[in-house]
Amino acid sequence: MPHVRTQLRNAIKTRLSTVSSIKAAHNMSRLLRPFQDDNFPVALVAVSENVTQSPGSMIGQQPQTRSYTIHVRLGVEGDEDVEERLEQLAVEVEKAMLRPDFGIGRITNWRYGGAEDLSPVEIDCGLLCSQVLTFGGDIMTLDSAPDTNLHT
Amino acid sequence: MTARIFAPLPRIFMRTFASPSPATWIRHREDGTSASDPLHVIFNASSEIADADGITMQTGVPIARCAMADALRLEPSRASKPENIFKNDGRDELVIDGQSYDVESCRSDGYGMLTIVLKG
Repeated sequence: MPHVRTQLRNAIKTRLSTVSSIKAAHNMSRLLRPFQDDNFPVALVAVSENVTQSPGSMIGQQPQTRSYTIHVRLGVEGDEDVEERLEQLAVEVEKAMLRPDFGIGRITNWRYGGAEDLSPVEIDCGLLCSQVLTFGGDIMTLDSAPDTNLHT
Repeated sequence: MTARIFAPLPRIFMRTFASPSPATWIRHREDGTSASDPLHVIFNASSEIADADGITMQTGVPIARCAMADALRLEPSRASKPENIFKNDGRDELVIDGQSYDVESCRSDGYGMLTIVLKG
């Protein structure tokens, strides 16, 4: 199976693509490739991980708590009313991401972490006005099986 | 609109440099249907892109060029913006010499030719 981080990222993308005003959800690395103006609004997803090991057990059987931070970068086209349009998108994204029922097992401590400053990112065809929303959640695995959620 | 003096250029380019067998331009539409038509292109399977400003260099990039008028004859609804005549993210495909390519970007040179950067 793919890493639980991959499972989570793909599940988030699937969830975001159900948001009607988002054209498509991609991995964050999509930024490296050119966009066309009818690709927007777009949601780009990256997931970072922090692992806490439970002490005591044998290597290979140690439960790990993997704390994930999910970065959802929302990008819109043009330079008018950017804040309003990004915030309107955020309403829909926050609603869609309310519950972590992604079908990849149990995710605990699910939370919405907030929105970062509006930031322009340089892309191939100019600047993309975008804002990052962060979400968080924990998944338990064994150290020997980073691809299996302990609580399915 | 293309200046009159340049108007015959795309035709001359295509007549001189186009690959002998036409490519197939496949459009996957949002409503689930797709259309495909033969389209004459000038094709280089392995172009080099040098970008001095951002200091990037890519080699082996497949690039096709075609006459904007040829493309619009097949897809007149896309006339509003030359950059959007060929669509990215798997919406359009070009099959050239039996190999299928996705569109990365589409640019107009202002003289009636389109440059389509592809992805193998």
